[in-house]
Amino acid sequence: MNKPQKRVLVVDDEIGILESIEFFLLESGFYVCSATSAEQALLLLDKQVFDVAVVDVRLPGMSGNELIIKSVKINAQMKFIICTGSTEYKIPLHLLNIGISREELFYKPITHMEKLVETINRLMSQVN
Amino acid sequence: MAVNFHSITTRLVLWFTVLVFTPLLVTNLISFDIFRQYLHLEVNESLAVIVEHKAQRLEDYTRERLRDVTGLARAPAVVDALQQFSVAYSRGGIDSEQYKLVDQKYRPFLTAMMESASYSELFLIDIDGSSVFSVRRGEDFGSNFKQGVFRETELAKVYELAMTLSETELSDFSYYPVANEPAAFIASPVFRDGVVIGVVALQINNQSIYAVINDYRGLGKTGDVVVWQSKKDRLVYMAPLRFDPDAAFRRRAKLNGDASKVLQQAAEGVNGQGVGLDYRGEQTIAAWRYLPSLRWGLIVKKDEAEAFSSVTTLTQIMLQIALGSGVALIIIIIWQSLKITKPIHQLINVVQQFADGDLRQRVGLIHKDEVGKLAQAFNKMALNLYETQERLLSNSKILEKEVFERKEADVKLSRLKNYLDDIIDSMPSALIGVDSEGRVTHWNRRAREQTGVAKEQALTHALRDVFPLLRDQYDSVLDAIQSGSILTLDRIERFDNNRRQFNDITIYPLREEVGVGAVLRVDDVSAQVELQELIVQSEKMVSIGGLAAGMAHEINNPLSAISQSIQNIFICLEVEREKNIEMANELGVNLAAVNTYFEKRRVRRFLESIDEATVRAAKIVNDMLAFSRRSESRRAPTNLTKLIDKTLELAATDYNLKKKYDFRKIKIVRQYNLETIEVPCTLTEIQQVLLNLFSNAAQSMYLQDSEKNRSVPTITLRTRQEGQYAVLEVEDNGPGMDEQTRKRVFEPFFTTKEEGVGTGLGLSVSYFIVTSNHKGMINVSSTLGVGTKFSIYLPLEKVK
Repeated sequence: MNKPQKRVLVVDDEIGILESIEFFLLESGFYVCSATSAEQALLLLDKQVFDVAVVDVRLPGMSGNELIIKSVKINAQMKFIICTGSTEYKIPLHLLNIGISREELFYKPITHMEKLVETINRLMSQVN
Repeated sequence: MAVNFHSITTRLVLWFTVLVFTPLLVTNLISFDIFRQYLHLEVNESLAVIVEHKAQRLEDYTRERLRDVTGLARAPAVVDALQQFSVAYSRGGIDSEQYKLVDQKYRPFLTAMMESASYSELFLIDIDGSSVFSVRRGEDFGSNFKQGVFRETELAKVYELAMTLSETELSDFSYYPVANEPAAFIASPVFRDGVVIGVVALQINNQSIYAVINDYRGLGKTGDVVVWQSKKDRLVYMAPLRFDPDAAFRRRAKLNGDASKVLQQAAEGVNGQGVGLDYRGEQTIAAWRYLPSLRWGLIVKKDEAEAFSSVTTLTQIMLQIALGSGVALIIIIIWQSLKITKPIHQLINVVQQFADGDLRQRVGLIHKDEVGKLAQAFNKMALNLYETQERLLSNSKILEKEVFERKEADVKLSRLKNYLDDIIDSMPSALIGVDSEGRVTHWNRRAREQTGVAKEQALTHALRDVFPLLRDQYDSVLDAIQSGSILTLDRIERFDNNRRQFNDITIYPLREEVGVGAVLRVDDVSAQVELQELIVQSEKMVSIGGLAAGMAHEINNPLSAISQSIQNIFICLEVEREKNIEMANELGVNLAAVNTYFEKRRVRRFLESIDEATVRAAKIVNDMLAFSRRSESRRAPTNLTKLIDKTLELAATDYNLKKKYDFRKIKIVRQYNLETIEVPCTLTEIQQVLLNLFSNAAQSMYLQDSEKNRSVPTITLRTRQEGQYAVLEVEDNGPGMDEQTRKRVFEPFFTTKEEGVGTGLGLSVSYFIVTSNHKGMINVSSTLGVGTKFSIYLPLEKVK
């Protein structure tokens, strides 16, 4: 690996989901950190810099939406992918305003995680 | 003004006029004709007399002249003179002394002879033809009539004739150059001792003859005398005419011309009388003679106009008198006629007004004639009639008043009845009156509309027969009447043309007197019942929707873990993957062998089954929630009819549908009533709903078809407008469904199909598409064994 590893933060309160995504992304060659809540994720963001965050919406305590808003304040360069189990979910206006689109919204279950990887790569290529 | 030929006045006037004027006219005409004939005769006679007289005078004149000259020729002085002139002339010519002596001796005598009978000239011509003496000594004097320049003249001719015949001869009138005028000569032979020695010739004085001819006495203003002689092929006028003074010897006419027919006749020696056109082209009456001595024709004529002028004048006077008297007569006739008919007209007027109803009319002026008597009789009759009528009128007025009062009361009564009937008819409920026996006494409009039984057919019939809905409760109705207590029957269900109908029925016994009868009020509450059902349905569906949405999240999370973990497991089994090889080597495990083991023990297959199951589960949850997910697609005006037809095509070619039930075998009946109206909707969603309904219909009919093989499977499609909604109906003639099924068809996962055929989500998705996404309504009605009908209501106004 000559290139610097892309750094991904995965946030989900369901361990099974969190671990399976973490494993798949690690296998795909990313540097991955995981958090089970928004609060935990914010602690990690204080210490480290991440390129992309894969965020579940419904979390105990602070919601995924809030986490994204806070994360942008910490690192404006950061990209986000939203993962939700609720089919009624719509991207709220303030998230649309910071540049998150339907392309970055995944409904659970993610039956083809290659698409997740493709999306992360696409977001990264936008930055560089 | 139109003349009425049937009126007495007109007829009187006409007949009187005819009677008066006919004899007047006839008399006039006859007398005119007689007078004319008489005049004609008279003119003819007078002309005949005149022509006779003139002919006589002219004949006499010529005869006298002939006698004169004969006498002269025998006079010894003339014989001597000729003898001596001849000698002198032959010896020395006219200029010799001897001639002068002879001339001196005889000239006075001869001149006197000539003038005595007013001749114009006197000649002595010797035997050789030489003119040896002339009184006037013109150019012809001294010339020879046998050889000289004058040998062709009338004088030469008459000389020759006299010499040859030894008789006194008269020449024709002809132009004579020396006299420079027409001239005629009389020549008589001169004898001496019995031997002709020459001729004495005299020129007749024209004026003397003209004086006779141009004497117009007795010929009025237009009478004329014409003399002429035929010369070769023409007729030559021998004397001046009254209207053409230069006519003599200059005017000619063709011998055979039409105008000269009379002249010719006369010239041929025929005497006669007649009528014809003269040389001026005027119609004339004429009489003619032939003058043998002069060899002339003579005509005395008069213009017809002048001849009959007295007749014409008379006719004019008579006509004026007739006209004048005629006008006077007509005025008198009309006056008298009117005088006769006026009283009749007056009578007619009065009778007419009387006939028209004015019984006070009487004839005022009574004449003493027959009409007067008639008028008197009429007046008497009119009086009688008037009195009779007066009596009748006063009687009828009383009657009339009574009738009017009664009528007024009747009108008020019927008005009141109509008003009450109207009130009862206007009620939204069916109101039926019954008597104690249960017979119908009243039947309002709604009752007729609800039952389809006309008022006439219902009245007096038993309620049981005309209102079958109450058949089961009939006894309790009678009880209620008897006891006087109100009976209420709610939600009585009945089927009308396979439609469920609900009625609330209340029986109000009449209060006045117990047991007299009752009024039934029947309300159609089908709409309320339907609405109630819809509300219940809607509430149920909303709660189910919410429930499903909540569930979905909870199900999706575990599904997520399963699905994603399986994906990771498959990664871990990849033989080529670097990490896997590393780990296998570290553990001393053969990766290929592990894979083979998984293969052999069908672990891979089980894992794949889990993966497929999660995918399917995810899809079910997704489908289930599809309705609760607000559609983001825009609603656009869509032609519903076209949309239906397009969806039908789609259904016919749909493989999944075709595989099981061939959609093309189904008969499609289209009853579109919305051809032009566009409905705002999301095309794909409505298409999804329709496909679902078609598919359900096809399935149900397919099932029935195989079971009973009944009628042709038919889907009836209807569109129409109902208020602010476009209504779309899909009806099949399948087996239908029971009430229990009908109430649950829209619930998710509710299915009547065999397991694995459907998820039971189709209708619930359709329900939410119509109600949530389109703010419309969908309901279903069904009858077992008849069919099922889905009705979709889509708002025409765009709902936000």
